[in-house]
Amino acid sequence: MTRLGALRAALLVLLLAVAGFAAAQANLEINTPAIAALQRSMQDRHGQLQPLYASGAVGLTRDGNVALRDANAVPLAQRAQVNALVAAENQDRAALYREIARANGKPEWESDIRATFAQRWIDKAQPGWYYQNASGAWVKK
Amino acid sequence: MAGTAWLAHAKEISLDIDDIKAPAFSARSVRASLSGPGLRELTLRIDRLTVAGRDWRKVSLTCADLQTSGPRMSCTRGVLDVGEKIPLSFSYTTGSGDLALELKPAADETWQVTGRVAGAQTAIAARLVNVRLERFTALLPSSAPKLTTGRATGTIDLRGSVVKARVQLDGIGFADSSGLHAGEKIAGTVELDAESKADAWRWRARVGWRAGEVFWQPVFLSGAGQQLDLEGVTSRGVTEVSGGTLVFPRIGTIDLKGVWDHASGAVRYAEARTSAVGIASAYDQILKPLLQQTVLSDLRGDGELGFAVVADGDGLLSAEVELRGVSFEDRERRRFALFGASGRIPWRRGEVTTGELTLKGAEFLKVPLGATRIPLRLRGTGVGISAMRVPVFDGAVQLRDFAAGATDDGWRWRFSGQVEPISMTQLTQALGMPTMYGSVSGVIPELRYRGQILAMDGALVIKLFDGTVTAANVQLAEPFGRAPRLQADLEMKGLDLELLTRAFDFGTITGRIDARVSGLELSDWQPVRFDAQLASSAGTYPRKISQRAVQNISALGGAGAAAAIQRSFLRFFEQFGYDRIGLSCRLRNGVCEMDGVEKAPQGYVIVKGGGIPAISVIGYNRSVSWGELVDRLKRITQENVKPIVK
Repeated sequence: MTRLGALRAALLVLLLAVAGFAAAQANLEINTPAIAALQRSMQDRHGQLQPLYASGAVGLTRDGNVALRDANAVPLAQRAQVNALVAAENQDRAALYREIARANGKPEWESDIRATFAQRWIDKAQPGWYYQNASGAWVKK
Repeated sequence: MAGTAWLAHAKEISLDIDDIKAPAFSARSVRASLSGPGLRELTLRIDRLTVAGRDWRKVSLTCADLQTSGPRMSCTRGVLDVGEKIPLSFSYTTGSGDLALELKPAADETWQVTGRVAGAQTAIAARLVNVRLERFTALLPSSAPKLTTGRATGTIDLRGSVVKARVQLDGIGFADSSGLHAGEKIAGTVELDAESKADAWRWRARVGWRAGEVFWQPVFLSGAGQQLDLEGVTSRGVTEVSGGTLVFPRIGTIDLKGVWDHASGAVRYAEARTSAVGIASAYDQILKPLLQQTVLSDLRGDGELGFAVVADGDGLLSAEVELRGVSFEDRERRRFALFGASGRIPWRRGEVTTGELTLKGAEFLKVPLGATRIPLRLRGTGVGISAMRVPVFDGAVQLRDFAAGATDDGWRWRFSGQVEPISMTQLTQALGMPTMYGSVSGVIPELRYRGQILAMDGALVIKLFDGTVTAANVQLAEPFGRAPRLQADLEMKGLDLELLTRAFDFGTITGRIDARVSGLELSDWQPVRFDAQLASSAGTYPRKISQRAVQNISALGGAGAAAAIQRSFLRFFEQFGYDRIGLSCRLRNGVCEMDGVEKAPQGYVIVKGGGIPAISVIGYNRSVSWGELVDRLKRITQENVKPIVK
């Protein structure tokens, strides 16, 4: 096989893998009591996170998490709380990705589901919020 | 000095000095000149001045009215130019060394130095009024958070080898670029007394923190009169704190000692100890901000804690904690509580130590736990408990061979033990469940927690409703996470239906039943998957079912038996005989696939009649949504499936 041929084959395998995941169609809207509990918990927290996204204190990471981007945008007395909010949100997000993968009967899809969600969160972000681009740099939407 | 040259003219005298170098100070290309009428205008220019690593370019000192009378030289209208122009005045007498210098960078800011510079007799007093601390930003190491604002007012006296400083600080602010280390509006006092003898400085410092806030990830503290007193010696690049105290108002006093090597920046020795710290205030002031969004975020604390921590260059050397009547209580949600914990826990590097804790009581999910003695064995990050007994109502849980340790994938622990019969009546009432009769007891061969999974080897036997419930293959994933996941197989034998139906207010059924729930999976404590079969136990025993129970069973299948019974003569009977009861549910994706004792035309038999008067209940709906089934159980209603009553 020529080098080009090998490259083509590799690309084909990659495409098939991606297509395989897509074709298998993980049901991202699947619902279980655990998923419902996680979504409720995240929804409750969203009200506290929203102003932090808007001020740029917290941003959306490329790996489907949130991160403290600029603590200086938060009053001193609330910084510890923002830290705790970010940690709790990431704990819920990790559990959500794991739970959706498991509910689909494919625990091994967790990282693909996380990647899909990472893009979803960024697509759904409001203008002015910060997110990480593919190279990890913060970008204002 | 690399080179000098005097140039004397009629109207100007100037002095050129190429470089002046001293430790922590250097000046390049220094030029001084006297000019003007009577040579009374002084100009001193430095191309580049370096102090403590910071550079200033084109620094100049000018004086428009230099006066000299005999040995005294003075200037009242001087200007120092270091980027900003600072008015200054000075006088200096050669011979006596008397010096007076005043800088006024702003209307309310004054730097005043007076005294005498004369070798060992040197005595200088500096008076500072509203000195802007941000001027010193550049002198601080760049790795430290940036000092952005602040004022200092006070005095610094230097008399021979004795230094005495009394300074009030106000409005100090600092921050690093990430904002994770920052302070605002900090106010306090600094007092320093030091004396130099031979090559050592003997000193005593007192720092009081009156107001303001500091966030030093992850700790947030407010100034509330905290005071740090330190006493020590600094000599040959080593500072030794021989005695120190840190006072937290309303919390307690911590005694400190330490040795710090300046060159390596390393702490060679550190010691912190306290006889008593108030738990309530320590939790509110220090711990609470750290524990937000965790289960420990809203506690009421009580009692006292003493500790002694010693560290050397290699890390923690020993730690000892003493608890005296320590209590914690989950304030709002009342999920857990710990009462009257007392005891001593010692730890020493590389050694095995033993300690003991006693608890007056505790509460977990509203279940009260009795007094407990916990013998601890510590080594490294490992904790062991050979045996302990936790009373629960009339019974107890016994733990044996408990061992815990930190690993790469988090905490890991295991123990074995047994449950001495605990009243199910009291337990279910405390948990807010329907009252069940019987007791729970059993042997726990081994319970292991590792990699976020809690697993039980062997079977737990619960004596319930005069029968037995055996739980096997129990595994709980992420027990402390947002969505715990439980897997188990349950087997129930010979449960007394009369006790069971009474507990759940289901009407009355007399008889015995066996049940098997295999592959049970709970997610966030809600069932998502199982295969369950209920069937009358083998053997001879009275079998009766009340009219109300018949209606309720029918309703489970979504049926309206009540109407059917009401239409027939059967309404005159309060109870019926039966031969067998059986119901199965295979739960998948929120749907329960139901079946019964045997097939019936277009359905399945749930209760097979027998005796006089006999009644059979037949279910027709084979697929029922689990949520709907639970709802029906809750409000027992009549729905679409009609049972045939014969």
